[in-house]
Amino acid sequence: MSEDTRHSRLLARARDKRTGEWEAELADIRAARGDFPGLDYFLSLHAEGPSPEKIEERTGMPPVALLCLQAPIEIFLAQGFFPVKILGGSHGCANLTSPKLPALMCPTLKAVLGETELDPRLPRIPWVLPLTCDWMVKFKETRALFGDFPGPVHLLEVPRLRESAETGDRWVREVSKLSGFLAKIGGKKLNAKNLSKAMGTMEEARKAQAELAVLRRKGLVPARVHALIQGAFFFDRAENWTRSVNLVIGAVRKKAGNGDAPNETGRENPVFLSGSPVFFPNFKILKLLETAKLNVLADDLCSSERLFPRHVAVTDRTVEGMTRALADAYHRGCLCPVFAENAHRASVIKEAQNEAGVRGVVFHLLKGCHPYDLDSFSLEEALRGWGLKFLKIETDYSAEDGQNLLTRLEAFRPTLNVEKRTAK
Amino acid sequence: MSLKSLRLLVQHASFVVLIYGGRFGVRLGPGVPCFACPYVNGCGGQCYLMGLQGYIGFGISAADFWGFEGARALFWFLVFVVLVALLGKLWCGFVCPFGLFQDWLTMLRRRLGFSGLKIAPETMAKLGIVKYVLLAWLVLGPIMINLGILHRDFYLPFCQMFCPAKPILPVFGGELRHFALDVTNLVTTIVTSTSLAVTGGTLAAMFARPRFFCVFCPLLAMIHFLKPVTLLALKKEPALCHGCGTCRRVCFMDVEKVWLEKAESDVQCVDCVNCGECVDSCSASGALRLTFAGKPLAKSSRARSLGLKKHRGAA
Repeated sequence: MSEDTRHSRLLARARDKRTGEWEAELADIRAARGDFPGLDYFLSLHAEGPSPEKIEERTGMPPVALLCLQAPIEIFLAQGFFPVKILGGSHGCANLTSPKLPALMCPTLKAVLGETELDPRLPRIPWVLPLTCDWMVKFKETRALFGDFPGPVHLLEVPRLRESAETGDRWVREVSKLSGFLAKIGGKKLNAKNLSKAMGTMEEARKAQAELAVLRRKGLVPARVHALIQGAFFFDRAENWTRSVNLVIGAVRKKAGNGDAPNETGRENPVFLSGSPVFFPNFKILKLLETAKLNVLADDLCSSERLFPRHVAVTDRTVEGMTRALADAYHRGCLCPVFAENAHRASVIKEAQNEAGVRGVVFHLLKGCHPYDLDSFSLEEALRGWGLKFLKIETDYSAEDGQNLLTRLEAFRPTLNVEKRTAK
Repeated sequence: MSLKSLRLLVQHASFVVLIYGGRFGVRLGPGVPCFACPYVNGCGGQCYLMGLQGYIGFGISAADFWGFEGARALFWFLVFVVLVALLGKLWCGFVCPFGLFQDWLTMLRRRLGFSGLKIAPETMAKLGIVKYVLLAWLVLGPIMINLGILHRDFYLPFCQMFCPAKPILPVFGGELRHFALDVTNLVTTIVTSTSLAVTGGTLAAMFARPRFFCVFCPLLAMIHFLKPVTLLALKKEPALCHGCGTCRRVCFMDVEKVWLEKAESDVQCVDCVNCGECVDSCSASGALRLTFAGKPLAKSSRARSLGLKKHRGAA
């Protein structure tokens, strides 16, 4: 059998597996949460998949592939591009690229590389690669192992220090360079009008996200539903996403007001989900948490509540002023573990403890994600000081460890109430 | 209502009372801890700095100190202390008419689309020392006049020479005469030409950078000296801070302490004017609080930063 035939067979097998994963996860969510109000829009977006053509058709803007969230979305929108986060959640895609990659490499990026193998259109669109972790730094070269990367690629250098004026200024220049790149490939320059409009659009999305978080803290939004809603952000225009989230919020409030809670277990065993991102269709950890009756009331995942900065405060409506505001929010406000002096990492957990009464933290660590692994130790120490229980789950995209993880999560559940029982 | 909206409302109401109040019978006296300029025709109150240099402070001769004049000076000093103890730097952020004037200039600049002047925090920190020099000048100047070391025409040495509010605020009362050069003698020429140079330079700088003069304001330093008795304070819960630096960016005084503090809850520093912009803009729920006698008056939250209606347990 020739090399080409063997490769074609591998691709076909991976494509089948990937399609199967998407369909199985969607069917599972439909079966478990199909009655959740307003979910159809988000399910249908996921069902159509992340094809560049479909996204361009839906949004009316040419897509730019984006990995990591330090590149301000507003800049893309203002300059007429739609940033698409390539979902790296397929086990089939990760397996496809595994033979040419280190065994302990981030499975998300393996899966993204697999997506580029399966869909030849993906490497041809423009890419923006924020240089966050080491895997991201080497992404462009790694991709070259699998063939051409003909689309224009912009490397966005992310300073690891955030509290100095020098790195702040350097980052603003990097964001301006990103804008220059988009102007070069699209011909549309950034100006106060288009940037202000894009910022207004994103501010509405932020408000919807914040309102959704309020319902989540009340135990009204199950983990997988929340992840599905957040993940759909990169499939459609921000205005449509915001409108649909607002419809969900209204419907959930109405249902809850009628005493018909859309999440049956609600606020029992409240936990915070921290660590590596969770991308569709790999909702394994979320499903296990649901099965173990642990309710995720908040998270700090960059695929979920950290999808975009909470707030961009603008005092100066000039292009420079708004660019600086965006640069600050996407850099200084980012809790990604790749940054030095990340003492603020635990702040959102403390906030969730105060607001939602979370009792423990489940730390989701994807094998090969070294920055999160390193951060988990200092985080655990800080959390114990606040009386929060901590469980680190190290896993990958395979289903084999599911039962083992479920047992650990179920054993973790009663520990959440230990102090409560002792107090009684 | 956001603190920003409340502040704008209070600032404009205060401006009317302090600049025009005298025309309607408002007499708040010379103990007001902000730039309520007595040179404004028909003002409603008088800046304590003027009294302090003149008739209720260091302008009193040693002979008068133990008599009625001394008692009057003590009385107004106590009034000043009580007012500062009650409102702290809200006087600067919410009440000061000259602060509002500077805010108008900033609004105008932004409306015109100018980015403004960026001054490095280190430079501003160095320049901030000037406020203590001016404070020393307004204390020592009158004493030197009393001792005969300085000419009598240096009377009210801070107001006459270095206060840009003295020529500017009377314009709102319909007077332009404080922009005139007085060439009566060498001293008046020096005094008025210094005043005009300082005012011109400060006006340009105030247009280019928000609240430029506040960095040099000796009253800000005086109010800060009374911090131990002040009931109003800005507090931070470092464990809840996300470190996003929004507080630093929205702060027109370029205060870095609020952002960078990682251990102490007290972040009320000398240059903070308690405008509340940081509390309004901070999206970390409960990380920043404006407190009165330890009780929170306003608290940062995600809902507040986004202008959402407050929810119980809001995220």
